Amino acid sequence: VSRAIVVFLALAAACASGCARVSPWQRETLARPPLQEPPWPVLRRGEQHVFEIREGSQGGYGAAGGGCGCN
Amino acid sequence: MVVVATPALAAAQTSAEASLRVYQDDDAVRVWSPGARVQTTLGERLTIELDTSIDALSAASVDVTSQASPRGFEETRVEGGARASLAFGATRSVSVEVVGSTENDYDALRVGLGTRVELARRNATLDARWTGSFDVVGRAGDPSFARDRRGQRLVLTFTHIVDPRMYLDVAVDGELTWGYLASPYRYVPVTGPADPEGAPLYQLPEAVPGRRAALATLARVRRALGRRWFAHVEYRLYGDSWGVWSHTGTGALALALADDHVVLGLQGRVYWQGAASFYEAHVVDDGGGAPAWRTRDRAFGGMRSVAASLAADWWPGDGAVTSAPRLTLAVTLVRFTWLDFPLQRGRDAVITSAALVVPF
Repeated sequence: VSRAIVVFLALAAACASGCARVSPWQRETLARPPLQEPPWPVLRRGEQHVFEIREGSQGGYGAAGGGCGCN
Repeated sequence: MVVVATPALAAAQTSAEASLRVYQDDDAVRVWSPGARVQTTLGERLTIELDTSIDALSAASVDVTSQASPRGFEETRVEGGARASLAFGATRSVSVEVVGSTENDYDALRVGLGTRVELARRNATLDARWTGSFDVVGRAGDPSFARDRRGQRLVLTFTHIVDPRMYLDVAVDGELTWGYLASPYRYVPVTGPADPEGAPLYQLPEAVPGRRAALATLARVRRALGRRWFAHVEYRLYGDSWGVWSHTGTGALALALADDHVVLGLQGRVYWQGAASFYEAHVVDDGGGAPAWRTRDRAFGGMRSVAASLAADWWPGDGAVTSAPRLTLAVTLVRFTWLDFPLQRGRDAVITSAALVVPF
């Protein structure tokens, strides 16, 4: 886990400091609904709940729910 | 995961959401899940969110995941959550979250702390969130059975604006759980050496290690393909200390119509998973004793799943979508395939979801 965090932070630092900057007036497309994450929140919530019960792995999307209904 | 505020959330001071999800599969399992959510911003710095949901499950046939009532059962799970986020200036915020749920054989409590900072002239967002879990595992019909299950989870999410048409998201999600991690209902059948594939001679309770460390990493690209078309592509790699590895690929295509007041989407997901090191469809009693760790939970066997979704968003009216109600409808078809689970080789399911978000 610690290695993954180090790699993650290095990548974040590299991108934040070295990648191209996009000015606020260039962000019209970025603000449009289909580019938001998740594009359909209700779809993501429903699928994630089912997949976490039926499959052996979970996480990675950043959401934290309570309980599982799968005992 | 909210790494960049959506236009709707950014514009509305208060919004309310009602949702309904229905899960139905070909093993006669049906789950109705109504939910409600309210979010409001106070004084432009403090955002409060409250939500609740219910899972009302009925299984008319044998559900081999939950073997508490092999002739079929009904149960209800109730969840409630509260979140508060406090902004410091335009680029920093901290948040706290409490989520609890209860059902007849499982009580869960999650406490979360998070922070978010925008970097590089708001071209990048770094979000960190810690969650502690304090759960109690019970057993239906046995009020004296109560086992603790604890966990800690750290999620780091980095979002970068690559160019005026593209986002890049990278997430690292590490979780450590300990305590009672088995199911009180699950048993592993034991067969004799003369007929290893035959009828079980007896059954042993499931036994799994008392700790599990898991790490999931995800990379996602969100890109506008033109004036109307948009694509999301993501890959997740997961591994844990029980030997489970999985690969998940998801792709979505969205079409925006009527000045973004209608968005239609198609999403596909494929999932491949290797079995836990101690997964056993059955154990052979050859006189050498039973393995210390053993499970027949099909969720820890080798498996695949394929899902396809259709989604539609509608913001009625002629004004900006940021101030209009949002109606979402979605349907997902899923095929689960278990590679080494004799009782059930696969299951087909339909998940239907609807949500209405009204800003005030």
